Amino acid sequence: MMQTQEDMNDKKQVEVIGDRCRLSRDDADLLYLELIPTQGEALFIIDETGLTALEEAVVWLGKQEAKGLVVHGNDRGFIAGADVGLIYSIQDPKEALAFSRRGQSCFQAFQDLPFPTMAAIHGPCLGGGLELALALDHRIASRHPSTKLGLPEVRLGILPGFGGTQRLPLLVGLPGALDLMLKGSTLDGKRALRKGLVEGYVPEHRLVQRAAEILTHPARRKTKLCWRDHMLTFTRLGRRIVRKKVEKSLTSGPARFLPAPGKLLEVTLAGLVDVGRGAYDAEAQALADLATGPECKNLVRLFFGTEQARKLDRKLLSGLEDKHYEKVRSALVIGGGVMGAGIAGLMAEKGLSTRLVDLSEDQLGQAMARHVGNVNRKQRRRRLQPHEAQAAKDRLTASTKVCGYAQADVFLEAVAENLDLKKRLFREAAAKGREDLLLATNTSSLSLGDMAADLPHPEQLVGLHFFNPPEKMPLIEIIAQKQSSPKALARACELATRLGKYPVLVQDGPGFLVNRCLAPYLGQAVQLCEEGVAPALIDRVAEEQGMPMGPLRLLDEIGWDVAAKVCDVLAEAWPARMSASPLFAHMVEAGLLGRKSGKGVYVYGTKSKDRPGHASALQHLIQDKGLARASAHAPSKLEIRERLFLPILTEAVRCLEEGVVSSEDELDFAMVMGIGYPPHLGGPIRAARSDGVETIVARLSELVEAHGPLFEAPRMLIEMSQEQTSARPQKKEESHVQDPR
Amino acid sequence: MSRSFIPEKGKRPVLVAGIRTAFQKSGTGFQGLSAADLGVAVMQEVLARAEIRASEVDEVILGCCGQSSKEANVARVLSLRAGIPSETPAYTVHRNCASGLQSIEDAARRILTGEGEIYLVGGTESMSDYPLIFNDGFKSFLGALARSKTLTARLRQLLRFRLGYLKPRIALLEGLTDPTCGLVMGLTAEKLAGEFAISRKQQDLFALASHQKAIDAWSAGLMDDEILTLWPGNAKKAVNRDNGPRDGQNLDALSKLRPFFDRREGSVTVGNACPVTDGSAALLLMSEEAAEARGLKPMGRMLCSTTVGLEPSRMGLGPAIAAPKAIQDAGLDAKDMEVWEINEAFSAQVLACMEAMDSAEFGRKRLGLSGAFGAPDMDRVNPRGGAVALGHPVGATGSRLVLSLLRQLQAKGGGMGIATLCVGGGQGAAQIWEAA
Repeated sequence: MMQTQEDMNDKKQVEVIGDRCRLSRDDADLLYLELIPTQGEALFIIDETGLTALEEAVVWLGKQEAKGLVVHGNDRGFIAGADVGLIYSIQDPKEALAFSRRGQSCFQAFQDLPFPTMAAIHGPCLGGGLELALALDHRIASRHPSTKLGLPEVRLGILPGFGGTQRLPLLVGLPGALDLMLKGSTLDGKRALRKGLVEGYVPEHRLVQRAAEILTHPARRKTKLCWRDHMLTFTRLGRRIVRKKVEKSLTSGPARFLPAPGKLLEVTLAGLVDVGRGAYDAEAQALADLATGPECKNLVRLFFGTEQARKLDRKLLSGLEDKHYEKVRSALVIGGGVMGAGIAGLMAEKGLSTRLVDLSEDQLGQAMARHVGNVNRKQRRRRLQPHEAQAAKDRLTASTKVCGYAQADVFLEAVAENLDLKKRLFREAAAKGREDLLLATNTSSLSLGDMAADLPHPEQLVGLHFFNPPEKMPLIEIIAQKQSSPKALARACELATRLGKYPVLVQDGPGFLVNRCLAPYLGQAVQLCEEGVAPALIDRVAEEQGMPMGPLRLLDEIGWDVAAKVCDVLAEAWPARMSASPLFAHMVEAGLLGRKSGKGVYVYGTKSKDRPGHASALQHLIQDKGLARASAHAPSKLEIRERLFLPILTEAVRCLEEGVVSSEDELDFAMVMGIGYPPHLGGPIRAARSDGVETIVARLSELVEAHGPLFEAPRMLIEMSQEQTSARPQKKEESHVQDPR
Repeated sequence: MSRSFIPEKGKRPVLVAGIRTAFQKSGTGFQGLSAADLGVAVMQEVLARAEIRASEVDEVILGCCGQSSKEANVARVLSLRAGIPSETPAYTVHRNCASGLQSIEDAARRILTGEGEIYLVGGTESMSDYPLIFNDGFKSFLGALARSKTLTARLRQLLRFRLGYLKPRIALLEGLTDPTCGLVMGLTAEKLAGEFAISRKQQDLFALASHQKAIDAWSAGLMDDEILTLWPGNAKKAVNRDNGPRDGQNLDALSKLRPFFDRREGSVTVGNACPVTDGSAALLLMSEEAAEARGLKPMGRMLCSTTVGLEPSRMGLGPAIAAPKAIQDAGLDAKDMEVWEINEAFSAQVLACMEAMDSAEFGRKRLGLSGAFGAPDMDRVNPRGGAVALGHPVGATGSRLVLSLLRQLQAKGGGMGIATLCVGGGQGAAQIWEAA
């Protein structure tokens, strides 16, 4: 769009700095700085060479006389941010401090240029990129949907360290700046204009031209903060109000486990008090501390996990000669229960023309109501334009007739867990559908190998294991049975990504990965109840560790009947360590299914927002059925924590040992995305490594005597402890993924 | 008068699948849905039932009479919304009440010339969605207001406002009024009732029979597979049953109704005329070879399609001219027609058609015969009820008649039948089909 060399032929190239910056001057005496992407990347990334190039460019610019400067990227984007791989690898706080200082003084030099300057932003302008734009005098953004501005550093456990915390509040006011930085969200051009972050919102093909026009004909109007934002930013009282409010919000949610949000608030406020360089130093120091801390490393590793998940389809195909496959565009979903309905609605919303089949018209009606409700809510919240919302609704059709194979690219069954029924459905689909029809099952307890047994094309069968509710849960387990072809798996992964989910590749086996690791955790929670520990205490311990909700609340959400089924499957596979407490059956029998029946461990109001109340039904049941276990002493909080979380670790390591999942990284990623394992801890194995595997193995040997084989240290864990390679992270090869600093 | 469209044997287009929404009286089950909203699901369903991919469709042709200004060329809007690729063209046909029939004929012609093999046809109509329109006075008032530049000019223009401007034009009423003879459709029926001496009681009895036949067909479970369940609006309620037919309808209630169109001397009431209705139907028409290649078993073959013209004020007699012409042109015998689906715009109008076909004078004058053509037995006419009970969503009815006709013939195990309608503006249309 704005390859200025071509479309503005009166511009002569005058200087190239490294291979990253191209400087030119036009007849009107305006200078242009074009940012050139890092080799092999789509976007400019602020890495070592990138920063050096910017430093050299600004030195050169300082010697020029000109009417103004326009900084712009290419047609893919402006600046993606700092090199995340670099952040991951920095171990020495001094090194981090030096990098931040360099960035700060480079951007300060841009700010100090004697002529007016302008950032013409198209495509991503994130992290360090936006900080550069903030250091310039003016900014305009393109109207393209790929244009997004933001300072998402906090999502990686750090803060903007190139002066962003200092400059942003001056431009958009303190409340707006903190909101943007603490959420780490991004704004499109239109929203950026409304926030005052940019001055223009321009069609992308006119972007650079318009930037030049504004520079040569200085702004007619100056954007000013509104009265309210002015008071909240520039008066002591205003800042105190903001601080109180933000501090309160940081005491709940995942933010309370992370140091970055608090530091960010502190540094930002400091900048408004201390107008000198002191606050910039504080910013750099905070960045250095955060970037070398464990939380940052864990979050960055998860970020790499998301990048890997997005590339999973390509990885699966890497060994193949013919990498081509048809993307899934339309779906036939059989079974309109809670899962089927949710999946079908999600697919329709994300662009697949979807046919949902169920024999019960009532079920279909509920499915339609749920879909229409979801879409309408998104339209009300402006997440969908009216025509997009209508299309999302049009794409879902419901019928009681099992047909429509010809149109389908994927056939997904979400019917009752009945092997014969599923086999029949797949046989019919294979017979009536096209040859490359992807066959997918959402089973959570049956073996895929059995299902594939007598299909004409068993290589087409994969598992697409969604979690409930499918609209919200970010992970999909892509289950491979022995015969699944890489292409079928790749298609499934690509579909999962398009549905806005992270795929993780898991081998077929009881409970797959996530449920298998979750069940012992839930099982231990129930056992602790039986030993007389109060349910609320168990949940509190888990929540204090950083879980989004405690295990007993989670059981209520999942439904005790569903959990009981999963536990049965696991108990059958590993009776010694996975045998489920009879309490599950009793809860189901007593109708205490959890939220869906209004009562489980807790009692629930009629609205989903109602907070759960206390109920003693569980304890009564334990007494009545004689399930109470003697326990030597009331377990301490620490013991409760160990009892809950160590089984996740041991089971996860067993999965790794058996090859259910292929790497530690994927495993930890799946645990965080699938069961809500606290992200700042980085996943069970990462947490174990940083706590010291040796001590854990020792502790396990104590627990195994009292609480059985679930606490037996798996072979691989013992090996890990023997390796005793330090838990320190090592930079991964593919870590050239970039984004916010 | 043009000749009938008669595809030769072996080249007869076949209908492989068809489905419709339940028909809902305006302002009831489908209130708030546009013509396009009504059609999206049935179009996708008919493709699924026939196992045809959306990209295989050569063209989409739909009938619709009251196209909304927000859905110009509603067939195209619907085609895109139903997921048919943007490369597939689509157009809307409008032959008033015969639009749904015309869409089939258009597709049949194209199949015959080899332009395409697979056509998605049908009709859709949301009579609930017909608008109220600003009257001309208000329109010019607003125009002048927009042209006034200064504040004083604007104020001066505002002062010209008259209360009469608030009286809207009713699109539904205008659409049902013939602009050349000035008669609203109901009055053309009154005219026929007078000319053929159809009494009020005859009309009411006919209407009652229509309701009873429709209710019987529903309770015998004959209709279920014809209908696709929709969940309109917020999807709280399923719509899967025609709501026109009244179970408890009786002669007493019908005879108490006041004439609607001619309040003093008339005999046509809302009870013995068809109600204003919303609904949509989708059919899949293919060449015989294409159906065979895909292993599809056709529902029926088209033998003949014809359209005739007559004076607009007697438009109700359309079937009495079109049906005999179609049967004669196709070289068939009226007795071969096992089922007659005659659209019931008005009870008086259908009864007048029966009288006309039995009249020697009508036969001589209008059909060029030596005597009467001969009306069908009443038990062959609309055996599952007609529009008086089911309703008449103008653009969709023609498609419903063919769908119902073929389903009835299939249930009988074969045979031929005819679907025919009177058409506002003075036309008649008829199609002869043979069950496959």
